[in-house]
Amino acid sequence: MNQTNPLAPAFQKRFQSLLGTEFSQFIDSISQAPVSFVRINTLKINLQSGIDQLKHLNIEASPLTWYPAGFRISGAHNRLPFTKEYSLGWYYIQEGGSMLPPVILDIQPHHVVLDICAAPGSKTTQMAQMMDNAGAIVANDRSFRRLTRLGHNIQVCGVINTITLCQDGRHLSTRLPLQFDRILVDAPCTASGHLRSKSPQFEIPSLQRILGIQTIQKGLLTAAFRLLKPEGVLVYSTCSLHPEENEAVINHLLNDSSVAVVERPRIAGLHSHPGITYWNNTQYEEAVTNCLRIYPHDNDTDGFFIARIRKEL
Amino acid sequence: MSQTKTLAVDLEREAHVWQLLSNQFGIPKLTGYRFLKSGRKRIRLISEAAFNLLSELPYTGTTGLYVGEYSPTAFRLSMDGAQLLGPYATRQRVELNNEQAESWLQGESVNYEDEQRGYVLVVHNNTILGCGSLSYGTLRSFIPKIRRPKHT
Repeated sequence: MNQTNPLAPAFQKRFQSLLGTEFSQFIDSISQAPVSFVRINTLKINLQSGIDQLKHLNIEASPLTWYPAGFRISGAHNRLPFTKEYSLGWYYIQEGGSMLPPVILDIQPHHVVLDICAAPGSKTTQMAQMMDNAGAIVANDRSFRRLTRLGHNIQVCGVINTITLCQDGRHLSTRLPLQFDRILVDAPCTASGHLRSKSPQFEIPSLQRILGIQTIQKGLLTAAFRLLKPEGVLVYSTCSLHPEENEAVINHLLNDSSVAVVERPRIAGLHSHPGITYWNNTQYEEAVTNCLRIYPHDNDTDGFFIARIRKEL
Repeated sequence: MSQTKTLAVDLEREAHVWQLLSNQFGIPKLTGYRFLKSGRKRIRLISEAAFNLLSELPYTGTTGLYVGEYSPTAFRLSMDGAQLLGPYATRQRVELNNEQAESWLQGESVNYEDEQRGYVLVVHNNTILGCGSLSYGTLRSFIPKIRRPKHT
């Protein structure tokens, strides 16, 4: 592929710096067709019946090691959105890597959870499923249009423990008189981890655009951390692989707060790389190595960055 | 921003909704759930823990799950309300065959001879599909357009 469609030079330089000797594996992986994933919605159907029904629909499903209700699907999977079962809300099409942040958040049914950038609701509905519709989720998004989509997904998935808010997440800490047990900051990003559906040249956005988004990400993470209870856990995630949107944002929080502790998530069967500590002449705190960089060739998913942060007493 | 604060149903009306569900479908009062009024007739269901948060939040958007429409004499369950509460029902169920189920899910009325009248839970292969209205041999469908299975 690369002989007929040479990589954009900026893309090649950046990802070679990040990946070193794994660069060719990375390129091979992102040159593949996108993989399809599904989540069985256990709020509506039990797991085994959901698996059986996929077989009945001639869809081959292999379970993800990191989430029991998540599956890689093939076969007649393109027909799934046209089935009765899909209309009934038994299945939710969700990228495999995107199922990780709620897992790493370690949600319990009694928790009060904030999803600060919730729309369109893949992770919100997954969290409701993990909580078995108990506890409470406040699902916020600043876009009213996207919030409508979230409302639809909440309805289809049969979620009853969620309240939606339409606020700029960066201002929530001054508007909510609450503190949360768990907070998910699935921040808006350049989506540079979604490489398999991109043009074969893989252009990257300008540094100016990346830094513009970084400002928003820093604001969201800082506001969210203020809303976290002592001993509470926050997960920051993006589907971008640019350090400016990831390690630099975590580093900003670590410099800003003495009670933020980055913890290394342990997920059986998940392949990942540690966060990087040096990028573009900037040295980050050693603790960012506890973050997870997930490249497409690690687990055959899209690229993801995930940080788990605990607020110390 | 066009947001509305969903109003809590007053306790008397909440009790009436449970009474209607019991009278119509035999669904008992369940603990850990609260009903909210949304608009003039729509009723939403929310977990007790989420309900307790409502008073602490600023203007909210969607709250809980739309479970049906209320009138003084009857309660019409939504598709998802029927799936959630239907398993607790002891009456007003009709079982469709494959052909009937396919048509009904497409929003079409189907012929169905039965002594039951009024709102019924529509079942196919032990799966609750939603809630329909049965009257004189015709089972009406309320499946919203957006939820009808699309043709390939």
